[in-house]
Amino acid sequence: MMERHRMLKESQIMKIHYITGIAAIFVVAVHILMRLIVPFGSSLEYDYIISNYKNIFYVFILESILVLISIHGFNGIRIILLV
Amino acid sequence: MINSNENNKDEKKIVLKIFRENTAQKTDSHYDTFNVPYKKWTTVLDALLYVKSYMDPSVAIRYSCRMASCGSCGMKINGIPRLACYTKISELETSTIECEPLPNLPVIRDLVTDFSRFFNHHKNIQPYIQSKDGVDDPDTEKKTFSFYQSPDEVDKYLQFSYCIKCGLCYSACPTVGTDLKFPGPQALAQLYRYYADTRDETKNRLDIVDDRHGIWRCHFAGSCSKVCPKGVDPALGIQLLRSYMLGISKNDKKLAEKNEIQTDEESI
Repeated sequence: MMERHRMLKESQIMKIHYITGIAAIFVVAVHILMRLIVPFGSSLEYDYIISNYKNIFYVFILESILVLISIHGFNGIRIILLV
Repeated sequence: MINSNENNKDEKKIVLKIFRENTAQKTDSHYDTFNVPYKKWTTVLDALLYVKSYMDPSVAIRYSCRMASCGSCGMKINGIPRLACYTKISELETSTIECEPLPNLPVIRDLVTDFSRFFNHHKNIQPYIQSKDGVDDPDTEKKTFSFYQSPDEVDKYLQFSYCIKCGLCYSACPTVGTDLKFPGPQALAQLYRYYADTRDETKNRLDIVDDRHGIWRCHFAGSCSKVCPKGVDPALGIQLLRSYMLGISKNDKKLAEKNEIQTDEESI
């Protein structure tokens, strides 16, 4: 029943799972809101996109989405495959 | 009990469909149908015993107390895990009653299932109060203690101590249906029962179920709590345990004060 020699306890993994899930919802919501406040035509302009990628906050949000969803998603797949 | 010769105007008949299978003889599973008389207070167990007495003595059922105390007569009645002795035919409000063995447990014969796995999960959670004295002191067997608990302390675990180990929650659990290593709602609720008990001094009790097939695999379907004949809420116990494991709730359990009792043997 009890598993030893594991890096993380299941409760620690699940804590990370829940935190990444909730944080992912938050950053995705921010990302969508940032898209919505700019008209679609101007959002595709070269200068606008370059300025976005020079904005450290915007880059941080995008990278956060990637990292959080990866951790949450891969752990979700692990749970599904456990059975 | 129903009397077959009794000619009563109140007596109606019900169609009882009973699942039949003999794993020892490797017979194919099928349903046998019986027309059984019943009255308004007749339980499904009464009807099954009527079949066994007057129609087909080979029907296998497990029962004992007939008063929802022993938890022996659990079976799936009209698709829901219930105690046969605690289910009145008149309350089911159907013309046909289908009796099947409990799901998630191997069938031995007809309505009798093998509870070995269920009890092993129960045993794994160490379902007993452990005291430091009980482990360290070699003379403990000679000592008897009385514990002082406030009503509030008792309230924390009392409902979980009503569990009769009937296995209905285990058979209703969708997680058990897909993962047999999952301890099941009964074992997890009992773990909470001992974890919350101020007489218990076990350290790391939560670690027992903190593994990949442990408490975190509960989907919180809540079917365990719905089928419990004793009003226990295993789903609540599981969520409370999780909140302790996540650190949302802190276990500020103050161990019960204990006093040694002089036994008759010692006083002599």
